[in-house]
Amino acid sequence: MPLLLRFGKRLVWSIGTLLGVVVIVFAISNVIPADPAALVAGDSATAEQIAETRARLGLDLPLYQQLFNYLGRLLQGDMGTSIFTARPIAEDLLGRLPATIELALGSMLLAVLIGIPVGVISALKRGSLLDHAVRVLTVSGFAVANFWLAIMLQLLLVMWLDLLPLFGRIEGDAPAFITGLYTVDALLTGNWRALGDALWHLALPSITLALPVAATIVRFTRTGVLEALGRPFVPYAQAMGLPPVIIVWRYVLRAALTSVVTQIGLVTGTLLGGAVVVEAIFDWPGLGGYTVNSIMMSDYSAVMGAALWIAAMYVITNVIVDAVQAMVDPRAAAR
Amino acid sequence: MSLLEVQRLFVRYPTERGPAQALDGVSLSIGQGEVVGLVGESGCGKTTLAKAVLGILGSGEAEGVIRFRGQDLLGLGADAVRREIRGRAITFVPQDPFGSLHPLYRVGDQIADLMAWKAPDTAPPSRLQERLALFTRRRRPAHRDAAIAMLRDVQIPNPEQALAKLPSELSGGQRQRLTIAMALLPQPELILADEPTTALDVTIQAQVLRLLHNLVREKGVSLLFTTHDLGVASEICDRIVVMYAGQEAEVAPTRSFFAAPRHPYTAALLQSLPNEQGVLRDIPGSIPPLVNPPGGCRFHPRCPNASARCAAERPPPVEVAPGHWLRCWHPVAA
Amino acid sequence: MGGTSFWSRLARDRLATTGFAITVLFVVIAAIAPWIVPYPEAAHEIAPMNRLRPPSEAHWFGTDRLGADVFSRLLLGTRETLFVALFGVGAAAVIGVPLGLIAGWLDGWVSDGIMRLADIFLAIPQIILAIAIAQTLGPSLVNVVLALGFTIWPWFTRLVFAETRALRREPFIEACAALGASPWRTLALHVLPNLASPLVVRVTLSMGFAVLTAAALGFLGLGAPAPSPEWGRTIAEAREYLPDAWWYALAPGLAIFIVVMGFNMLGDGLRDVLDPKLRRSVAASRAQSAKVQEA
Repeated sequence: MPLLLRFGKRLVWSIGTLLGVVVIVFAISNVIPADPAALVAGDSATAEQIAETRARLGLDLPLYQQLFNYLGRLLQGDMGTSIFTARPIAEDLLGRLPATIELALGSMLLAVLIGIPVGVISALKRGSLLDHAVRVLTVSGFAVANFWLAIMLQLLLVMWLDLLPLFGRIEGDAPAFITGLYTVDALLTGNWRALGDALWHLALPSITLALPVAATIVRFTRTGVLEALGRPFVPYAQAMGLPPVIIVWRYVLRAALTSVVTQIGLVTGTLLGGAVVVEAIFDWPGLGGYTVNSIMMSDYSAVMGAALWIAAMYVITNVIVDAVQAMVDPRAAAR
Repeated sequence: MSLLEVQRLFVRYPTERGPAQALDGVSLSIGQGEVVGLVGESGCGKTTLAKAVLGILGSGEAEGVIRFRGQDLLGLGADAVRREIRGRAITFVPQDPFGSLHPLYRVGDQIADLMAWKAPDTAPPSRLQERLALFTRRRRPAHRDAAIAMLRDVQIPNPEQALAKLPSELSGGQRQRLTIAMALLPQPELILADEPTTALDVTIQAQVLRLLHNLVREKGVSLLFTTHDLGVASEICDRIVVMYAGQEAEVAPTRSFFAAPRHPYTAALLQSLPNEQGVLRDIPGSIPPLVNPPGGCRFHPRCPNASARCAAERPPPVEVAPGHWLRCWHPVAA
Repeated sequence: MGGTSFWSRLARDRLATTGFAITVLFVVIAAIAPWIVPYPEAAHEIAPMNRLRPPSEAHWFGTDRLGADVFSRLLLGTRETLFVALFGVGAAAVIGVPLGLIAGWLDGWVSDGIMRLADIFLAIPQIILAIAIAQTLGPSLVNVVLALGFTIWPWFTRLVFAETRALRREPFIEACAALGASPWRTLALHVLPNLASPLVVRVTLSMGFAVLTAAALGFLGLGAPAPSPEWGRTIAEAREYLPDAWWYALAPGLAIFIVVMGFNMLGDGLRDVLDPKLRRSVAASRAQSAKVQEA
């Protein structure tokens, strides 16, 4: 079972990576600041108070011991307590996870649904006006600051045209909790009002996040299709009289998709990073919004916790993408 | 009546330096069950001729007559040719079995794709059917059985297992056998084979060639066999057509072709074959450019027999013996 | 790479020329901004009477919440943007290039360890990493530079690693070792100069990324503190005055867009122009990593 072996290897690799991420996050939060104890104890703390805080936080211990303590607490699901919500950070993050997953999935779906057909058509009509327009738009997609795009879309579509809601995930009651993704839950429970409302709220933040991702997908689909069109299985399929629809949208696209799938895994990082700022702007109750709130409150542990979770999401996504890759390219499974 | 009749076919490709005349009034016919070898150096138009018959010239413009079973293919329209003729009555064996199969689809799926459109017992699909089928892949047990039987015919070991494999898991010879099987599966009347063994090892070449030849004879299918290798052509062909610069130079039954070649170009080709001493003689000069080719006989700049007439006038085809046609003002003595 | 042929090829590439023009324009603006802006005092002066005026002849992009000229602050902000991007990418190169050279030259655990560390850094979405670092260090321009450096370095390491690995097997490099040159000397005098082209492309493309990341940090309040005219921070301020003072948020975003477009176009163009040389010297993995970075 080479597929399983590959998956297992990848999993071990990912756990190693996550461990590394924990160490880096630990290093950032515990080593770089001149005196975390002073920061935690507050501006007006006396020297004794700071020393006491240091002992309480275990900051007087050697660094490696601090790291082990930190890892031990993490394994128990303890990421500290948020100054902002006064609740355990892990609980806060868990409650906000579905919103981020929904937003990320929604944006990714949107980007794929737009990006792949546009990329294919752009490649088929290479050199046409449409192709040039698509290429200009793609290049622009990489150059726009997502937080500014979010604000401009709010200005245009909400404040001026009043087409979409400005903030939030839903109006009125959320659908019954199954997965925590409102759209999915609404669909599962047949709650059409909630589904419509959730989609209505999802639209603007997903469009904002989808743009650079769609640009990447268009770019790689276009290149991949152009490459695949030049390969000899195309004239052979033509010579055997297969329908052009099948040749382009099955044979050529399938060959082009291998590199696109890899890219989808990689742009997930851009997507999750973008979600931090975009969630804050649309008041989307996910991990990103939480991160920004915590930054505003100078809540170190919360920022680190959220960073860790988002990194974990990224690593897990790439494990999934790798599995998908193996399905799209059966040769990869054999390697 | 011949199965395929090509008359005064011109094909022109637009290029940056002007139109390239890839086919220059070539004529050719293939009878029922006949094996015809199309011989010439690369660039002489053999592949273009095959493409023109299949109707996949791309940017090339064809002018002339291609009659198949009495039906004019050029007049039929590209889409109708694709749906009704190509892959059904006329199939194709590619030159490169390595790249011609899709690397990511299993052998069985690629055969299923072919059979979905080209199975011999079905009517040609409509355009709507083609579009709707994008999202499904029809797999019929009957097609699978036919495929397994055909893989056995082309001597692929363990046909059931081969169907579940990727092309990359098969050897080069097996892949070429597979493309032969795929060419035979629609039960065509004519197979075009474009140098089908050049990508293989010499030892396997002979095997695959004999296999193709036997199957074609057994099933009574006509074969147009493109090659630049006269040795190969001599082994399996009934008739040989030598092409030069987009025209047929000499057409003859295999035996008289090798016994008494008449065209100076053919004579030079035969001399360029490795002889007993293993010496390969070059034909002086190189093939003429397709853009602005030389006037008169296309071969005259390289021809030892060339005269002033050759540079001025194009020789018409003349029958010098029964079934032996020639385009030359100064043929080699018989 | 003959000077004339390089420049003439670059000039023939329309995309690269535009990118080059934009980049030069902004560098010039950054250099002379304090002397050319219509309202030099805009960086610090407060004019409450003049608040949130729409665009006019006197104020091309209107005025902000304190009554300062948005256009003037935009031009002044160019300095901070380019400073942060240049030094941020510079810091990344200073960290990443030596690590890549070492990892590419050596085999064994040092090399593996360095590349593994780069992988781990790349496993954290870059803006998150930058936020975490900038947050810890506190809001200041220098800290944004450090945050960018620690975020971008793995790209340089990967690039240099792949190139060095490919070069290591070249006869002229092997000859250096055979002649007894020290590894450091070989790396500095023979390997590094051969990496100039890919590094120039990577630096240019990273500049766009750095500008975007720095702006996002500024937007989140992790950049230079008020009253800095930094663009990201300006957009955050302007947000509170929407939809009425739309010009206030529009202008800095457009400026970011144009600068990043400039760097990206120049980088893409440079890559095309330098490509033949790149292709000769390069392992296949380089093309892959370049593609990845664009994403």
